[in-house]
Amino acid sequence: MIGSASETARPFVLIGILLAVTSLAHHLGGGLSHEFQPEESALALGFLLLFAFLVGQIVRNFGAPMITGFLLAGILAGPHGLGMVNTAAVEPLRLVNLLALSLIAFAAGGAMKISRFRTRARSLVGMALGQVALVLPLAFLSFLLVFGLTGIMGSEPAVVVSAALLFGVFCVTNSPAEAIAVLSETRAKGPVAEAIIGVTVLVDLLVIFLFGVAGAVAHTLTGADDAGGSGFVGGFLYEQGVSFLVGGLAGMAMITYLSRFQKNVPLFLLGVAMVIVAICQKMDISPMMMAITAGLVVENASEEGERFMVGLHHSSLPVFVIFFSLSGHKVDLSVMAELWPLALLAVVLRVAAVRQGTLWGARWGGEEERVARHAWSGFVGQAGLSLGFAVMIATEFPPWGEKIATLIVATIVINEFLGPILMKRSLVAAGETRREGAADSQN
Amino acid sequence: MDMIWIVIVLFAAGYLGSRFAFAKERLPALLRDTFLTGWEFIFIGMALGPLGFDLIDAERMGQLAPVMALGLAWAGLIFGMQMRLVDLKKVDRGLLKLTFFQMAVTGMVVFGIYLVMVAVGRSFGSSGLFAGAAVVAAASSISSPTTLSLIAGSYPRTSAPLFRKLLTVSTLDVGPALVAVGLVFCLFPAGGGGAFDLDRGTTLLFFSILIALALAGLFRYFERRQLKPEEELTVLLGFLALISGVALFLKLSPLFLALMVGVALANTLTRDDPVFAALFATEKPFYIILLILSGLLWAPSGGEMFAMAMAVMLARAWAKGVSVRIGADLFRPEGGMPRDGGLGLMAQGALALAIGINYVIVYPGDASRLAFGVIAFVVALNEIVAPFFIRQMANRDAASRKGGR
Repeated sequence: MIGSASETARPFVLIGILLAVTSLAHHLGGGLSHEFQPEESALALGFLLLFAFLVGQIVRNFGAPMITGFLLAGILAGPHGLGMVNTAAVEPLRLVNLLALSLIAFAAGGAMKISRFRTRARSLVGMALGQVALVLPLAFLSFLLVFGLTGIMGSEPAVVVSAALLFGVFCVTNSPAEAIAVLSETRAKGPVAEAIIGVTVLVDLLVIFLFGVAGAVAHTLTGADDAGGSGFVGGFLYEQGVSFLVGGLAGMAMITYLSRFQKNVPLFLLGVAMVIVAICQKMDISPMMMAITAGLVVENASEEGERFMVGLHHSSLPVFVIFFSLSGHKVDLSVMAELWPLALLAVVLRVAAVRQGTLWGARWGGEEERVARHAWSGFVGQAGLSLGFAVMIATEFPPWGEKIATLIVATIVINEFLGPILMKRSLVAAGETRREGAADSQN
Repeated sequence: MDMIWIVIVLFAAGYLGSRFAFAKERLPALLRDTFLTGWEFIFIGMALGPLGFDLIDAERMGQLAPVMALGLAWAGLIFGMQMRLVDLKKVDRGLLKLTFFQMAVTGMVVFGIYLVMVAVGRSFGSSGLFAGAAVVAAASSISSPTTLSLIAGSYPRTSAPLFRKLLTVSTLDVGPALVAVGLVFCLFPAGGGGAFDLDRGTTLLFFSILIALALAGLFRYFERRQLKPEEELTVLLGFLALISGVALFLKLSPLFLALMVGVALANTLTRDDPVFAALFATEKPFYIILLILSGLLWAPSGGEMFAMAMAVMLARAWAKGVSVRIGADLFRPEGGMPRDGGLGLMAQGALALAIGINYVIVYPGDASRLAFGVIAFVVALNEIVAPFFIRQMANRDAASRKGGR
């Protein structure tokens, strides 16, 4: 909804001042360099935080979620837009990405109250399996055909099958990051919100397993390395297993703190997220799995879940702003220009399959039709985990893996914008958002 | 040590340190006064840095520059936001004159002494010489209200007027020092090799003021009252990062730029604006982090550094003592000022360290390393002795009032 004229104009005026100040600084300082300079990183951090927040406010005024604005701000600020922030300057800020993923995974784990979900377990599992069962084969077969007919992956059948399989698994991934960010912004509560977060986490857990299997199959088919598929699967399972165990311990430690101290919970959670990132970098394990487990333990093994979630809510916005604007900054518009027809095909197929799979799964699980009709839009967005897959595929399967990774990134870009908008609309339509709910009750 | 661990250690130390550094009531009086303001955290920083276990090496310290600049912007902003014209007008004129007089005298004395010592002992060239001397002088001319306010609580109400006056002096004398540092950074632009350049200096000064006003306008126009607490935090963080980023990028003083923004905001925002509470709530952790960073930055710069520091400390103590005595006779502040009132202004506090850190990160090199070493050593010594001097002065004042009665 658009507010008063001055309220709507305010972010534009502020963006004008911000651009003028930053441009003046660039001019006086002799322009941006193309190498890493600490002072450019500091300037980029300040600019991105304020710019993305303001663009977020503008899109919110038009009814879209703020993270769409954060993403857009990243593109606008980057080398393909206004050129206010260069790639070298944001490199050190990528640390914030890992921090954001940890906070998002905390929230995803914390949202999984097992006692609450137990009554709906069948419907949640149904929706998750429905998506996997429909999206994976449909995407696999469609892109097997596309890759085979266009020849963009070469003519070797093993490579074409492997590429289609990995791309099919990618299509199954959701985005806990986007789901949590939209739920956090709208403060939505209710069966649709619960279904979105529950199914998103379940699907991502399934996808982690599926990706391990698909990677092993691709290794075996293409003979990509000496260790073959078993090495790939073994490494993957080891990483997730250790992350799960260490995450459990981190959760217990967090319960100890939360039950003894009342103050500074947001600061404490930010600190724990940083420690998790540091441990994961040291041990080469997954921060996502570790933080999901920690959040799950706090929510289900203590009485501190409510304070944990409120603390997370208060500490996460600045991190989300940086995370999503950096995601936008990374978008290469020249790649988009080249691959958009294929990416668009993937998006259309995926949206249709996600919607139908969710509806079938919900029906099988005995879920209300109304919930499934709204919840499916929460599974359109894609971000963190899928980007991680793109990087892994590019690294593990050169040179064709790089092409798949590029297509994945192009698809993610469209879904990153589409997902939050669809999800927010559905939450509003379901009457689960706090702001809109309040407005409705006044009316 | 990895960057992420450094950030974790710094923030954990700041958070935990702020809980314990100012809670020493149970310690014996001598120990409590010796460690009154938490200066021991400088040594924790030294232990972590190149002078100690070298867990954080010089290269990592360079990468920490944006974090340090953020801390400096915070310090400048928090100080600037206390400078309300309405409140300043209420301060007794005599006390105001005394404040600036003692600050100027101390600054000039230390400037001269340091200039001579460095000119004789080192060959830094004119820019390193003058800029370094000016920075050491600015850091020496200021006093810290923290020690005074920590001690004031243990005195009867009859001593309150004296402490109030000293607190006013020690709060206000920081402003001109930060302005002086800002001017030095403009006139000796680090971007141009640190040589004196009036043309570029004037341009930089003009644009600094323009940028500061624009940044203040940006913050003012945000309509933050409609924001949720987490949105308010995002805006404040972004704003601090932008101030420090602009200053670092232009090789200006983040303290100076933030001070100007703070003054502009202090005089345009209402007293109940949430930004005041948000900034003051983080005062103690940031103070501890500044102390640790000072220890980390303290690189070895020759044995004569200690001799120079001792000379600066003595010159400063003498100048403060004499200037307060003369100033009290000349300007006659309301209710008078004890002749040994200068003893109450011995502590320097975190802003002196911030001035030193500012110099090191914008002008890396031997001259700034030496100047910072001197500043940090003098601050540490003054933090140890200041509580005893303050008590001595307050006890004498109480005794003289009793005798007078």
